[in-house]
Amino acid sequence: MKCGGFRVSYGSDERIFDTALPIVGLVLLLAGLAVFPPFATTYWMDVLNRIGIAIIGAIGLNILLGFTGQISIGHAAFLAVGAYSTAILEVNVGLPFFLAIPLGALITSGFGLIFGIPSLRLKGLYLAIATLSAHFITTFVIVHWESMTKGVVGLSVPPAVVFGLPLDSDFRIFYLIYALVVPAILFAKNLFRTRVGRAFIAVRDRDVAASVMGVSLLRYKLLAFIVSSFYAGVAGGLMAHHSRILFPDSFTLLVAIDYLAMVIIGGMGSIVGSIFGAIFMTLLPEVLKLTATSLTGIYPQAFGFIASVRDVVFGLAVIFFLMYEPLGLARIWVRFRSYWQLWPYSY
Amino acid sequence: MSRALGPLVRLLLVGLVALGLAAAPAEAQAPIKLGNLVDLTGPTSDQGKDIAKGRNDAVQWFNERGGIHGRKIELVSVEYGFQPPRAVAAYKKFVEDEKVLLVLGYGTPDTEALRPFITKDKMPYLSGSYSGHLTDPRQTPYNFPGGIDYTSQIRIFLNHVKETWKDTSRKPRVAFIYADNSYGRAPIEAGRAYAKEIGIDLVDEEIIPTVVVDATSQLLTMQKKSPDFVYVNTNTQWVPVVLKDSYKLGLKVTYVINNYGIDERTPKLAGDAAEGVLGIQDVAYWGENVSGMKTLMEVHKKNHPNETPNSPYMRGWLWVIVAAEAIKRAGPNPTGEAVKNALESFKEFDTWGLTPPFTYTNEDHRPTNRARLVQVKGGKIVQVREVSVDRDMKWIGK
Repeated sequence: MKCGGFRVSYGSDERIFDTALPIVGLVLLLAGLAVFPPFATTYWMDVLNRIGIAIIGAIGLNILLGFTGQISIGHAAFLAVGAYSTAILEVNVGLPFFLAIPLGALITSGFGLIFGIPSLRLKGLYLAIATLSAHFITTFVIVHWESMTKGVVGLSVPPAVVFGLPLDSDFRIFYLIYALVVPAILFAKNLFRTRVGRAFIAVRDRDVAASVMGVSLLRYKLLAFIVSSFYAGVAGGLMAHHSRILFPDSFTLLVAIDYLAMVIIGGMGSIVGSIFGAIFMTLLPEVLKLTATSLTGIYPQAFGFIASVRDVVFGLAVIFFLMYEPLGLARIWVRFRSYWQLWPYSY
Repeated sequence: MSRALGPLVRLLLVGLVALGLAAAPAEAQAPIKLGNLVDLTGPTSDQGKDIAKGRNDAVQWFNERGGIHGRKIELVSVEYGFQPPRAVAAYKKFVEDEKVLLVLGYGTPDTEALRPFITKDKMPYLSGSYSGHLTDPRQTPYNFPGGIDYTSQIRIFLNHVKETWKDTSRKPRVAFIYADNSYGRAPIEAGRAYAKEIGIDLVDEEIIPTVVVDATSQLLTMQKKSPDFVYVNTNTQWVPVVLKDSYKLGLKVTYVINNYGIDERTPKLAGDAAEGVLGIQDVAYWGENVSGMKTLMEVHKKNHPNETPNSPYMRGWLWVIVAAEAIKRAGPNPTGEAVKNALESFKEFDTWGLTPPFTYTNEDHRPTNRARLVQVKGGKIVQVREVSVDRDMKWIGK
């Protein structure tokens, strides 16, 4: 009987999944997602799509923040660059979406690279403020470069078209989003089994030591920014196609903070944590909204009241996690898993 | 037919008829759903809360009187915090899941964003945004601004400047101060063009953030250009910031505020700084002697006994009154198309006196060309005179 982790070969040590259970679970989940849309309402499809986009964005931020230890408050700006460059490539240049999304993500990578340069000198809070400037610069450019971005009026994005079929509803865009979520997760999961990923972790744990070991800080810190903003670029490109309209208001500082919260609540330095965080942060306001709506029958003022307490609940959730579960939902998941793995000999 | 079967058949027939009778009214009594987009937490929540209350109370009032064509009205409410992306999500929910007949929209950024969707879905959309861009049925056939459009308002302002200017030695100088969002910017381009057309010098434009805490630097820049009149296009909550900073700096200019920037709270919030400030207003003030006011006051007193009402509450009513009338005219089984046509049949429709009468046609979605010039005097808002602009087709959609 298998009890806990017991590896007897290099092969078993290198496996992504220890047991068959997560693979079966994943396959079931994907199959479930694939057949879910016809039974769902638009509202729930919209929520699912937003979760998918948030997963990609949160993994991107987690690579930078959780795995490489580089703080960024500019994530909304990276998303904005991805969204706007994808949209502009489609609207003004006329590229199809399957070229525009990767190109937009590459542009975002370049942008991330530029704003990653300060990370060579700055750490912690100082870096946070430097990336904050990325946010303000981007917002300013989007608002004022009206010929390109249509400023505050908002830029309309045509639907992505696959074989003549426009992905103009939440049901159709769903497949595009999740077709990108899966490779995004797999790539990140594998990244930390490679030399590059290990270098990221070394930089995070102690950059001086990493540098002494021969890890080029310049190279890996910038690389982390590039990879992270590539993810944000993809997420942004999907946002453009999901909402089909872009505004400077879609990318406020609050969005960046939401993503930070996803990483913190989900679990820093954990891919599965990013997924949990994205789900949690997207669902929380929806659950509160549904509660409010169902309460209005009994207590008519609930709608307005809950709308106001939503931010308070957000804040409390973050504080709760920081105090009682600093490693986030991913840690709860690990504990849950190991409990069952060791069961019934969990002494 | 055998004797035994006879009563059975009869029973069956009676049963079928009864079922049919039961089903028919059940179908007729299915509620009419209206999408209700509101801002309770965002930068315009000062008005949003009152508007939401007004809409709820109005719907309740109509329902207590049997609804429309015997069908109750049901509001499907979504709070969106003045964030266009959340409005887009809400709109999808209204149209695809809830199958609403009409949407009571809210702000300019979201309404302008939804334009292509509204046209595609043939969804009558009565908005709290009075953006001139939504008034041209050739572009936006299903958008109906629920009040005098911002472009007409800025023209009223410029006409007022022209009429009151007595100094023959020079032209009057004006400046625009507006919020950094599509609501703030909506009438600005048309304003520039009209100022040029009628010979007024536009000397300065200052952009203030949607949420403004200090306008000193903008006002100092503006001061250098020494305008005589300043048009302010932002919300009631933020107008006092501009007025107070201006008062502090001792600026000698005449401020004119648009309809969403001035209401009963302005003198309370801005104090002395509000004295003499002018406003362009389309809705009546609370307690004014108009036909619907008595009902509104009674309902408000009953539902919100401890609160002080403000004019946005009346706007909430206004749009429900307009929507209800359109649905009534569209017949017992209304479609989006029918409601749109019904709205376009409005000719001098009396909105219970809450605003000047509404007229929509299939060529012009500007509901009215009349408003009132009001002024803060002794901490109270008083009417100066009725104002209006001609319905010039040149300005439609601008």
